[in-house]
Amino acid sequence: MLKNFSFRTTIVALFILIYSGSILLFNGYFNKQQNSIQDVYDSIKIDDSFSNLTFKSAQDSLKAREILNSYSQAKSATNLIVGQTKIYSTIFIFIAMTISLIIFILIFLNLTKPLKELTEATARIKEGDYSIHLPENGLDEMKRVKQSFNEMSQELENVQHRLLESEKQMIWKEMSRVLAHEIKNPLTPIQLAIQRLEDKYYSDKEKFYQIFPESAQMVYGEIENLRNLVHSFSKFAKVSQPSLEQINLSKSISEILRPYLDSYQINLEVSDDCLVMFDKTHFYQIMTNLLQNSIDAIEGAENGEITISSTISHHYVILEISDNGIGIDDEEIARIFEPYFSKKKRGTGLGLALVKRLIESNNSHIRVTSKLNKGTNFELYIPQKERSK
Amino acid sequence: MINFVTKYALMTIVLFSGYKGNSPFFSEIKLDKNIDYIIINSELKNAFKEDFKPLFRSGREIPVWFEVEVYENKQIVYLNKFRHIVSFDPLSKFYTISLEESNLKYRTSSLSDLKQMISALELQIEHDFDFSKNYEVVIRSYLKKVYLSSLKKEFDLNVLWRYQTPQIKKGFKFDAQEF
Repeated sequence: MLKNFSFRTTIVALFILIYSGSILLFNGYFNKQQNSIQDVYDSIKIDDSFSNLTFKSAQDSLKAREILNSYSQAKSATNLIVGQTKIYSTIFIFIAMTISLIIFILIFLNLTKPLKELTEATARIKEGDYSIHLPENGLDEMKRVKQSFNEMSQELENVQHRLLESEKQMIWKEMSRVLAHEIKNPLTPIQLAIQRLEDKYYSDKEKFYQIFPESAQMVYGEIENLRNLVHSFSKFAKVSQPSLEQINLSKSISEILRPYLDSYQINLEVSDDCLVMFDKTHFYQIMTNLLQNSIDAIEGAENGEITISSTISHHYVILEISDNGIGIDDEEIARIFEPYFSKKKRGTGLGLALVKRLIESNNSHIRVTSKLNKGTNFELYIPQKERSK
Repeated sequence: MINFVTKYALMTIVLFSGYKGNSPFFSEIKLDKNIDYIIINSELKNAFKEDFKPLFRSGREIPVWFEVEVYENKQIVYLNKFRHIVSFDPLSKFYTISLEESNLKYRTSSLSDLKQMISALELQIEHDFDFSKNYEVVIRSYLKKVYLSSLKKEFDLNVLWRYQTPQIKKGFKFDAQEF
């Protein structure tokens, strides 16, 4: 039962239980003892026997009267004192209990509230928010703890900024390297082709006319590659704001798969009533990219197969794109969504980076698992469209 | 704040003090009216069950105080304070009860008769109350401190009623047709 309550509640509840229990026990014992005293007094009975005596003189009877009155007054005074004591002691005990409880709770809160603040602040730092700053108030020890925490979060923030800066620089360097490499690749054959044409034009005109169409075709091809390169970078740079609309996954994926079904073994196992809210264009780009990756993976493989299936779990639709292709190395899989990372001979390495970006902009996320020479499995976690009541 | 603390203290006494005491209350007020008088009747119940016997037999006069007020539109138009006094002769073993509101005295050897007599209240008020107005009668009772000579000390008798002051109210109006 104690597991269901917070630490603070448990401590306060235990304190109240033990403290009140002790007080009530003490009060009960005290009352019992007083009742015993009263019983002793009650057992003393002298008035009946006294009043039956015969007195020799008026003085004697007066004395007897006085004795009896004293006895009765003492007895009634005992009752009054016992009653008063019981009542006042109970009030004092409960006032003392209430005051000490209030003091305990105040001190306890002064201790646990800062701890709670620290816990919440640590959780925010864990989420990456280093700007959190705790008010440096409260007990001295707590103040010092909070000061240390603030210094730590400030340092973490500084480190984060430095890391971001160096990451940016690394990205620029990587991008420059890729760009240089990708641009150089088509430029070299273009240059060679033109050099060859120039050479033949001046030395062997017949040969020139022979090789011209082929060279021109090659140059056009490389220019087209450069254009595609520019287009890829441009697409990655400007991912548009998603315009969410209801998508029937089975229907949309079937349309995307149509051009590929004749050439590849693709199995679609998505239920017909699977609905999500997603940007249609983004979804098309994502599926096309992932499909192309799977197709590249199974290229040349015997019995190469791609399966697209869906399941529902914890308010997410999990869309799986699996292939039995060449798979991805364990070391590379961690970097697969990084921009400009690619193991292919040609390509910008932006395809999967773009997929990840598009998915996240639609409040979804992606996971990948793979085994070399066994295949790869991409899982898209898309929030399920809530059914209207 | 004071009201809260008082109620908290009373609740504590009632629930936890372990002291039995008495919980007095008034029975419903009965009103008889004629053209010249109002007769107010009520009875104090459950007031003298515990711990009063030795007190009544202490030889000291023990007064029980009563207050009767009549209000017209929250303005007091009649007030009477009086006592029911008990004294006891330990040798003859007789109680004497004095009822101040009616100037009557009684003697009895029975404790139960004594309790009945001091609890009963009958007050005759000569009035010039208005037929058209609404009135309210309020009766309350309380105990005060008494000095016990043999102990040379004062004691607050309110503890026997657990510091309660029993009170009852009743509204009334004259109907001209009654008279």
